[in-house]
Amino acid sequence: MKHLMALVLLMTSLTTLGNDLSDGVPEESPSVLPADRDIPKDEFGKMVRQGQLIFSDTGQFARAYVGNDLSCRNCHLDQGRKAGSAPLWAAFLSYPAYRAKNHRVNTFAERLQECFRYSMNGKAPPLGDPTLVALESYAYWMEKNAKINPRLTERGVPQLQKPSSPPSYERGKIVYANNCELCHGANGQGKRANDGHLAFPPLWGNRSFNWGAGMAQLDKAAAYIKTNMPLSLGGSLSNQDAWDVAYFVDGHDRPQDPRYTGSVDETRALFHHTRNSLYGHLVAGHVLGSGPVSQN
Amino acid sequence: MMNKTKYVERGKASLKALLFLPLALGVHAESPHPQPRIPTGGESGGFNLATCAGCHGIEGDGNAAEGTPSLRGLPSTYLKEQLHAFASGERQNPVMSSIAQALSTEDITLAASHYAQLRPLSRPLEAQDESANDLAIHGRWSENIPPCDDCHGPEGKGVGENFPALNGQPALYLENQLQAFKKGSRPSGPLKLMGNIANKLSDTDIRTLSLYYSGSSPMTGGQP
Repeated sequence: MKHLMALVLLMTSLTTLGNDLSDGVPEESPSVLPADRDIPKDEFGKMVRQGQLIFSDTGQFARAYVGNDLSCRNCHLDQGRKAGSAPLWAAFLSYPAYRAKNHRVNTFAERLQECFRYSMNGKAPPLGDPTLVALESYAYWMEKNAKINPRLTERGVPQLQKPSSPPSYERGKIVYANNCELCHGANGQGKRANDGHLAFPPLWGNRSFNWGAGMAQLDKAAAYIKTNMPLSLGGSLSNQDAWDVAYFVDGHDRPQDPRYTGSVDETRALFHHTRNSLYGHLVAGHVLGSGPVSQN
Repeated sequence: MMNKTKYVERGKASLKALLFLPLALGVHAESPHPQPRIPTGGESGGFNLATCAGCHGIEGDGNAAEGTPSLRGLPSTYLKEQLHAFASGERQNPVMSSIAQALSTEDITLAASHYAQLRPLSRPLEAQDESANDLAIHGRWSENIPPCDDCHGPEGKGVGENFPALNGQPALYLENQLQAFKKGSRPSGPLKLMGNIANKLSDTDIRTLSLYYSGSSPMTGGQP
C-alpha cells in the first residue's frame, strides 16, 4: 500500500513538473531537506556552517573573491533550498556536467568558481581553497536526503515560454516601476537596511553581477523573475511582463565581462552570440558593454 | 510563555486609556515641554507634538502596556502614508482617525519628519523558541513566506522608506497590526505584500513573532 501511495505521489509530481516548464512555477522544495539544527557538531559540521556563512554574507566571509555587493542568498532563496531559485543542493547533484558556456565538462567546484567570476564580479577561488570546500560541504550536507527524491529536475530555474510579443524596454520600464522599484530602487541600485547591511540586491550598475553572469541573459532572468519575484509573490507576473522587465533590467550596463577581448563587437561574437544577450546592442541610447558603468 | 488573558486585559486597558485621552493631554500640558495646542475637527490645528505625546510618549517611545507603537526613527514616507490612511479610514483606529483628520497635509509632513529624525529604539532580540527564529530569519518558503528580516532588515531594524523597523515595537502593537492586516482593517501595504503574508500566518505565528521583535524576554510573557 505504501508503495502504491508513493507511486501515485511520484506520478502526480512528475505530471506537475511537466506543467512547471510552461508556467514557470515550480513545486515546493522537498521537505526532506535538513534544517540548520541538523548540522552535525563535528569538523564536517564546522565546514558546513562556514559554507552557510559564506552563502549568506559572501562579501564578508569570502571578501577576497567578491567584487560587488551581492551574496549567494540574494538569488538562491531560502539559503539555497528553494526550488525554482537554482537550489544549491540540486546543483550539487548535477555535476560534473558539460557546459556550453566553456565547452567542457565542469566539476561542481569549477561551477562555483564561475559564480565568483561572473555573478559576484570577483575572481575565482583556486580549486581546493577553503571557500570552495566550505560551499561544497554546505551543498553536500543539504542534498544528503535528496538523493532518494525523484524530483531532480529542480536544478536551476524552470524555463519560461517565449513571450507573445518581443520583449520591450518601454513596457519593462513600467513593469519595473510597478513591481520592482520598491525594493531594488529607481536606478536598480538595491537598498540597504538601516544598519548598513545590504537588504535588496543591486540589479545593474557597478555593484551588480557582470556581463558574464547567467542573470545577464534574458531567458534566465525572465524565468527567475517569473518564478521568484516580487519576493513572496512568485508566479504573479504574466510571462510577457517577466520578459519585458528582464529586458529592462538586462538593458542596463553592468561590469565588463571578464572575458572581454578589448572589443565589444568581438566579445559579443565570441561569448554573447545569442538573442538572449543584449551585450553590444544599442539599448536606450547606449551600447551595452561599452561602459562607463553607473555608480550605484 | 505567552499569557493570553493578559493580552485581552491589555486590550481593554487601551480602550480605557482612549477615554482618558483628553485628561492625559492635560497632564502633558503642564510639562516643561512646549505647550501643546490640541487640534480639533474642522480647524487646521497645526502639528502639535503634545497631541501625539498623549499616547506615544513625549519622546515618541510608545507604550508597551497599551500597545501604542514607538514612532522614533520610523521612515517619514511610511509615517505619512499611515497618517493619510488613518484620515481616510483605510487604516481603522477611531482615535488616530479623528486626530489624523484634523491634520493638514503640511501637518502630516511635519509630524512625520519630526519622528523620522529621532534615534530609533533598538533592543537585543531573543528567540522565544526555535519557531520564532525560523520565521523571522528563514521564513517558511513552503508557503512562500519570506523571512521577515528579508524586507525589514537584520533584526527587524528597518529598510529605507517603505519597510518600517519592527525591533523594539510593543508585542501587543505588532500582534494587533498583523491581525489587522489579516482582517483587512489596515491597508495591505505596497504591492499588498504584508496583507498577503499576514493571511498565511497562524495566531501562534503572529504571537511568537510579535514577542520576538518586541525584544521580550522569553520568561516574562511579553514584558520587555
